[in-house]
Amino acid sequence: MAYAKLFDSSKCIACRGCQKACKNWNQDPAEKTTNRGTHQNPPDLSHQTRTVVRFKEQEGGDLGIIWTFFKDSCRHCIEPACKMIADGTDEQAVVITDTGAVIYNERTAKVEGMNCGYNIPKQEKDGAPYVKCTLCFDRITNGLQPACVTTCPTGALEFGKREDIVKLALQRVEEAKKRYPDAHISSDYKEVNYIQVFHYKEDMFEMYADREKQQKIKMASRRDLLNPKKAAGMISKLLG
Amino acid sequence: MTNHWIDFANSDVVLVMGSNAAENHPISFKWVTKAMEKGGKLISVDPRFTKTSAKADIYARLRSGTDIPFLGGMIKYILDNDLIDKFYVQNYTNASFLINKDFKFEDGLFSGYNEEKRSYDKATWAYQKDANGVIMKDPSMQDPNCVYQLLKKHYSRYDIDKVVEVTGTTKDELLKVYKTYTSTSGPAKSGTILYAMGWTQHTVGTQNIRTMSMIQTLLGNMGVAGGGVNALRGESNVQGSTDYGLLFHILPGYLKFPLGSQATLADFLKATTPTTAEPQSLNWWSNTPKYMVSLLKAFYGEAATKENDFGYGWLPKGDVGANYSWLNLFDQMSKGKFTGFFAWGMNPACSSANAGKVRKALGELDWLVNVNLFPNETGQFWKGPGMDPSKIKTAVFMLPCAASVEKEGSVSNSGRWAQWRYKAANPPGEAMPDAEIIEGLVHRVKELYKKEGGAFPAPILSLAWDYEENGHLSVRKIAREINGYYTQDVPGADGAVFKKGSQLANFVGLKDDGTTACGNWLYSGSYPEAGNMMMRRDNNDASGIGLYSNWSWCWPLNRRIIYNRASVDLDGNPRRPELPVIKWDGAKWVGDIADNAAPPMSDKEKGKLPFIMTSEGVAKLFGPGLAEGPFPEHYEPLECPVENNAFSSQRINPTVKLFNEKGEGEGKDVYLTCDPRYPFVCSTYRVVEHWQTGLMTRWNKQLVELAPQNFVEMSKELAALKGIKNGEMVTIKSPRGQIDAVAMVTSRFKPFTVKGQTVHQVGTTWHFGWCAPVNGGDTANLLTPTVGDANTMIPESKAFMVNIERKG
Ligand code: SF4
Ligand code: SF4
Ligand code: SF4
Repeated sequence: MAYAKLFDSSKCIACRGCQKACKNWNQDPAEKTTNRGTHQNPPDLSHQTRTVVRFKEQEGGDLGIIWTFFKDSCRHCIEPACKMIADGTDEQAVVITDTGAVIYNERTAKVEGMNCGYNIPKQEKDGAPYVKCTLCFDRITNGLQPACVTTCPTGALEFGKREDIVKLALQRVEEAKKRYPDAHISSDYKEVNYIQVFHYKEDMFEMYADREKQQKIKMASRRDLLNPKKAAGMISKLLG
Repeated sequence: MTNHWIDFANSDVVLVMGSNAAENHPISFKWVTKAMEKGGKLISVDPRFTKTSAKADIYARLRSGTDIPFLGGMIKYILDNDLIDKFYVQNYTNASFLINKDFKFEDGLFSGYNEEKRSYDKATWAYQKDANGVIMKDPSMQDPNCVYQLLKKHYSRYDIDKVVEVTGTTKDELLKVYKTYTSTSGPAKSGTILYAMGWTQHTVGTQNIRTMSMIQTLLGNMGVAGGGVNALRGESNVQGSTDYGLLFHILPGYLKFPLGSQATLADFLKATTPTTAEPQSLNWWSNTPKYMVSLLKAFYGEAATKENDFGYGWLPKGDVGANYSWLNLFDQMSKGKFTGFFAWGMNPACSSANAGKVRKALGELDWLVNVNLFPNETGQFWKGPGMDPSKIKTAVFMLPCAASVEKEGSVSNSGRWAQWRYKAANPPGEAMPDAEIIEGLVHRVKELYKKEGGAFPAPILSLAWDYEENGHLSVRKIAREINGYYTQDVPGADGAVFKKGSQLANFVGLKDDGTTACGNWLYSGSYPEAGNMMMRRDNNDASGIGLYSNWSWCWPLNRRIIYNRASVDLDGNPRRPELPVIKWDGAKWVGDIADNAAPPMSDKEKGKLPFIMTSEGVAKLFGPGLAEGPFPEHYEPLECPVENNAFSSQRINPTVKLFNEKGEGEGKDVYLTCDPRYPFVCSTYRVVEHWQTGLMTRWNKQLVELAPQNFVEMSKELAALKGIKNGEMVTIKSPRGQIDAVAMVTSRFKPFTVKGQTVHQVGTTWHFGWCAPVNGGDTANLLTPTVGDANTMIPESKAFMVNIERKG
């Protein structure tokens, strides 16, 4: 069954329960951080941090200040750029499951030129496996919701069948519009299984999603598949 | 809370003021969000734009310590525009009651002030009564001495321009808040208030809350679904600890603490049992004798007899006029008046206002027992910053205790729900549940008294202590005693007999003759013969308004919304039929558990008024109970950025206790107002990642990763003024101490214009301490003053003066 996850910024209170729950469930160790003059921490995703709540503060809007939060993590693309790249090295390194979750394994360590328009895959150092959100594959295939969704107190995160989540997201946009006329769904929602609803015009989607880059990687990877050298390598691996 | 968490979803307007609920009570936002989904409005009023403000429909900033002008202005707005819920105010409040003609208010002082004692003789703060003792009333509310007219007169002074001048809020924002919130007047809509330490931690804390209670009463928002006055408690079981008498001035169930002047039980009961001549007032506290005697029976068991006043003489008594609150205890400790001290699940070296004074005071002790999960700044004060261990005499004992998940028992949430929790794991090492530590102490102290005697062994030797079951201390047995049981066979209705040792159904069965024992009357009904109601987990909601009456148990009597009889008309019909809390079906009340079983008010003989805990039976717009006066009045914080109070010549609360007065201890406490060395207002607060002084969170690396170091938030304007860059280390200084913190420069703080002058405000947290984590910083309580609210002595940590400089 294809699932999807929704983040609705209009309901997010930046409690970061999701961020902590993700670490707990995945048993990811804490990073050593400092306060850098912002509440956001760690500064970015890493091989130990699969999801991070990003903070953005702007002046303006009805209240004088627009303070928005965005839970950043893998989008679980339907056609993942990362997989297209990885396939060039090892078709088993990145796996698309029928749940919609895009899963990495140890074999990603060998992948050359790993990349993604959302800047998601992270490794500890060169040659180490890449790490990212698993959509809690181990939980969702055992009747549970992802850890981050279970923890979310406000309904800012939801999980369910992809078609239901898409419906819910569009409904949430309509709801949010009553308060926030610029509310909208993330422009890539048809291509991903982690869908977002943003309640402000200038949202963080643009800041953290480089769709152009994502498209370029995909185009390049498609071309690469026709690259005889790489294809030959792949065939020899399959046979080997 | 009068209402409960889930009930927020029923509100049309949610006002969050004196609280940053989204940050500190994230789960509250589950229900606030639901209210908003239904079209409800969220208002956030805070000196700083918070996570709560980020979700709000309306945001208004106010200078810290000016809540009474802000809300007093709202009272004036309600009265000027005739927005009161007339039916409600006339029938369910004391608005029409006549007040003593000598009652006065002049230039910030009510009649009866004694400057020397800093307190009031409240003789004139009283009702006019007829020959039978019945309060005189003017239903037309026109008499110049009636509460309504006095209220109008008092708040006529809170005109909007003056409010703007004092609070620093813009007129536009104020009017938006007033207009939106007062739209909940009358039965058709309800508004709720969510408050927390942002209201309590002021020298006028109790009056902040009272002002809002008056607004809720004027608008008819008490007792209704989606209404009430709701304190979001700062700890998961702080509601329970106050219910059980943890505070210095009460016994379990909010019975009063006996005083030295009350030598006998009869004296005590006479002084603490209110009477009334109001024909339709139930006057619930008239039951005080039953609750007190049953409590004494629980304390002393068989040893408590009618002949010996049920052991009343064994209870400790307070000195008349003395105050045993936290600030006073540590003040006395700092003067060497204590030999020993149990710090139990507390970390006063970080949590106490003026923590530097407390850290020094601990060195005046002979011994200190520190019961906690982790080593903390209190147990290790002797090796803290600025201490010389070789010069400290205090012997420190550390007793490790079990965490909440390592033991069984009940936790009472802010909505008064007592929920049973089970043990999930054994405590590590030698750690023990607190109750077992106490039990060990009790047995050893009893042994010693038995062996060695002592000045007054009777209270210790007579103490009934029989909580063992199967060879272990049983908290279920304690819970059964709290519920109450029959101490002998008692005849019931229709020839039935309540057997000795059987559980009471609820407090209605309590007696003042020693035939019942009850550890806390409020919780009577939580563990009847049928079993432990706190264990119930039925998540069906028959009420349709989110009462979930079969989930756990809630005091009193499982009543989910208190004062719910104010939600119905005189015939017992819900005034808002779409959200009915209770309804009279002609013979009985249906819905929530009604405040009392008597028929509705229209039954002039048997009908009862809704506010059963007041002797008047109605809500008190004129409330003579508090120290400062019957109407809340604005006084500036003890340390403030203005020379004068714009409302009167009383700058600060005239009844507040000052610790810097001449005589003993002079110079130990310093307060500075309008001192150019400390020009900025400071507030302390919390973040979601840490809990209180951080003892349960500072050792958790994943939480420290999220919030690694203390910080100080300040406006861009202030940062520019002081040449401070975002993210750099700064020093915050107050007249009492200093801490380092990371500067967080933000547009979420903005300078205020107060009386034409620019006032800057900053804010920092009290979560950190020198023990851990490394470079985390120390507590903001090194800055806060030793001064408390005049009624509760809760310290003023939300408004005091500091300076801030780049560290270097
Ligand atoms: S977001 Fe990036 S890492 Fe995640 S599936 Fe898409 S391409 Fe791969
Ligand atoms: S789905 Fe699981 S792995 Fe992904 S962010 Fe949520 S908790 Fe982390
Ligand atoms: S748990 Fe929900 S509300 Fe909290 S930060 Fe994550 S998405 Fe936002």
